[in-house]
Amino acid sequence: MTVKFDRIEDSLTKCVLYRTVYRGLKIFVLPKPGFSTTYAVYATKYGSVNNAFRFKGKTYEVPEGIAHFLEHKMFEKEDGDTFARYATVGANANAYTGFGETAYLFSATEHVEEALEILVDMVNTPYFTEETVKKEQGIIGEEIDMCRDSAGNRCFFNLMACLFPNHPVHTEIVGTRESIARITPELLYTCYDAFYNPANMALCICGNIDPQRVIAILEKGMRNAVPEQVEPIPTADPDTLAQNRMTEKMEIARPIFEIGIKDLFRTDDPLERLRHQVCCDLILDAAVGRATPFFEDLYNKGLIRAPLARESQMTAEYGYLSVGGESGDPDRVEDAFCRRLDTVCREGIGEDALARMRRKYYGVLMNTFDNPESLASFCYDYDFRGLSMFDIFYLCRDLTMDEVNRHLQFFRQDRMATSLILPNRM
Amino acid sequence: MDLRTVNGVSVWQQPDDRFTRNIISVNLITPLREQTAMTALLPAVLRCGCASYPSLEAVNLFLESRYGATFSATSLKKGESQIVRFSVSFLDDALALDGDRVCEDVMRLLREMIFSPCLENGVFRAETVETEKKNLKDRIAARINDKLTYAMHRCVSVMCETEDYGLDEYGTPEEIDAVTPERLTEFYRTWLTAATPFVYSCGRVRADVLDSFTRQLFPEERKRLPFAVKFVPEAETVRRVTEQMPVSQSQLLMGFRTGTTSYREDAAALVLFHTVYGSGTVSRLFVNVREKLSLCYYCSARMDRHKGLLIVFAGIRRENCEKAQSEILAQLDDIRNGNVSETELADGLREVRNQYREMLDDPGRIEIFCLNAFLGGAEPEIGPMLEALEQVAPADVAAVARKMSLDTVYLLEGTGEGGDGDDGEV
Repeated sequence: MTVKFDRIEDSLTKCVLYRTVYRGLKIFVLPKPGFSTTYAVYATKYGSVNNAFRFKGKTYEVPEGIAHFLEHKMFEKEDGDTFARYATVGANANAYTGFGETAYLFSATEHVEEALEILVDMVNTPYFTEETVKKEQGIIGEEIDMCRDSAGNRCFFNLMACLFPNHPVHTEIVGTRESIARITPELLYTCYDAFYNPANMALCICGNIDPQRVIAILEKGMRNAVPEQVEPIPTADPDTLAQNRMTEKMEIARPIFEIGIKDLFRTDDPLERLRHQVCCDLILDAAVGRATPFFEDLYNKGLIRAPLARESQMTAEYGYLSVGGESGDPDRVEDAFCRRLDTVCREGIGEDALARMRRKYYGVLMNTFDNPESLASFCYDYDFRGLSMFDIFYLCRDLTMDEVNRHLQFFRQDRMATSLILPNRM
Repeated sequence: MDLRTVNGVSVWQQPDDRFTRNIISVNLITPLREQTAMTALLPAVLRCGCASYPSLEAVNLFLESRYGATFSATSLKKGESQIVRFSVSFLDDALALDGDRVCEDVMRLLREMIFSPCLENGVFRAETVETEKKNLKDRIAARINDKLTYAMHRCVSVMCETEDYGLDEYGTPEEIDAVTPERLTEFYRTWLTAATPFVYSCGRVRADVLDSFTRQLFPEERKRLPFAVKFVPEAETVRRVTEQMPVSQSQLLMGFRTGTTSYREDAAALVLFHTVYGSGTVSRLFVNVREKLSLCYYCSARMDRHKGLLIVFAGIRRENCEKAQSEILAQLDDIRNGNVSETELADGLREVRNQYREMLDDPGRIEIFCLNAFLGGAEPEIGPMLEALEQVAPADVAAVARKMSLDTVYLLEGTGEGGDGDDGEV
């Protein structure tokens, strides 16, 4: 059968993509002439925060770490390991679980259709038994230990615990040894049925494949499932923090810190949410980024040896932005940061800074097209946010100073928390 | 690839219009044992500013205004050479808005950062030198933050105690302390004329522009130093070193001498041995130590085929150390006994072929490939290597495995978590 694909050619980026919906599944094909590599990602809107949900009239609460556990188990089938199948066609496969998504992917320079058949088949044929679950507990147990020994990782999750008293974003994506011990094959099947429904998923392929061949492969390999939306149960999280400081000691050389601000901006409009996120990041970059006197001053004083790393997440349910790094005296860095924010909130961002940022964003965003992996990931990520991947280009191009400065009000120091990891010796 | 020589300087250029950005890297290469600390300090001091942009803030404002161009100055170790790499990555003029000329401006910055440093009375600024000395010592100390990185570094230091390969690429804290602005400036001047330059570019920069740029940088004829790497064919004895640390997960590292290198006739067999034994998700180590025995989340082998070294590494529980070691050695013995099947070999070949082809779509990976080829005195061609790989038979892989000898077992023993936040055991 042939299915109609919309052909989109974006005027700003000159990017071409083909888009359709097949049996509830969104499909994007982005041609990359001249590249040998094809990269495919098959993703579901299911991540570590989705531990409470309603599906087909029933309510479920599942152990932490189950989305990640399920991701591991997707590779194991009754007749063997899927990695072995990928090896027969020379494809390089992997998967990852985030807060709100799980993605299965491969890259290949030959036998692309065969690799895609394997990917579709793998994601559509769940297989979980007592034995395979028990075996994985050992492997993921080691991954949990690895994460626990990572100071950056601990620093981040401690910050989330400070900012979000209730929301499951403060739980490790890998779970804990205790929580994964409660995972059963039945629970895995329940989560699979709810979240691995085509209505909740997307397939993005960047490279050289005929869109109609993608349909043929899906026709053969997609399981019969009525497109049905799972209903994640939102967690009510107050505007206040659990606490505004957390300190832990680990075997590291110098203190590691992360300072976060809880974001109280709420909207149902995904584009407004993206605009908010971009404006906040711009403000933070213009305030304490690598091209600021703030950074140069702290650097020359020997307080930091790299620009503060900036991060933010903004979803319908929760949001934060943060800066982090390493310093011999994190309290002084924090003081300087707070004073700098005071100044910026008072004075706002100027036209020169905005003009410079607009050019920087354009250059950085255009770089996405240089790599099939970054392009395919970009594509599904924006789709999961309810947007087109081109929206951000236009948004950045059209930013105005007034608009950016309207978001200064969200930099609330009364919603700020600091997470510190100190060396054992301190 | 276009390989040229300009005033004795190798200029390797990949003309490529598939990408939005261009890369130009200028590498300066010297033997690792010569003035290691001073050589490591040079890029750190130089990147703090230049004649036209005399501060970090000025440099970064310039880069951001040129569509988020990046400049990096780093030092790294490859084999027994020390490489100082100055590199720029920038949006091509064809994509710049309003007719902006990015290439010319960024190339000028690159030249100045190397040849027109900020000096005070003809010498590097004392504050800059002191700050960078401290930063370099911090970088050495910070290796402990990532336990695998730390363990790898320790294993190599033990294994190659009497070889240049075992030297710390940053020098020692004592060597760093002894550096003064005057000594560093004097060293800088001789280093500029003595080091072997290597220029690499990928993208749309014109050949004549790159050549004329190279002539400007290196107006006098340059010689190319030999890049020798001491080959130790066999371990005399097995060294065992255990260190303890208050962390959850132990790191087991087993260092082998491969008994051959990429310059010998069994180079292709060595590459395939590495793939089959320890690289990727169908390798012996992944399938057995991780999947079958559930002992770890990662168990893999890193190989330096110029030096003739292979290090197996795994993150494990302390009580599983003996079991993991046994299995790691058992799999090696199995390969030595000729039990690599044709299927395994074919899978390995496909994997390596895919890696090479994917590399050609990535300017950063092409650069690493070129640098390795340049240091090894080879041409950056994948064709001959792929042909050689296709001729390898299972018996060749067994023969190469029999040349491997265990040199060092390094264990970073986790004695339990150093901080709070223990979440209970299964």
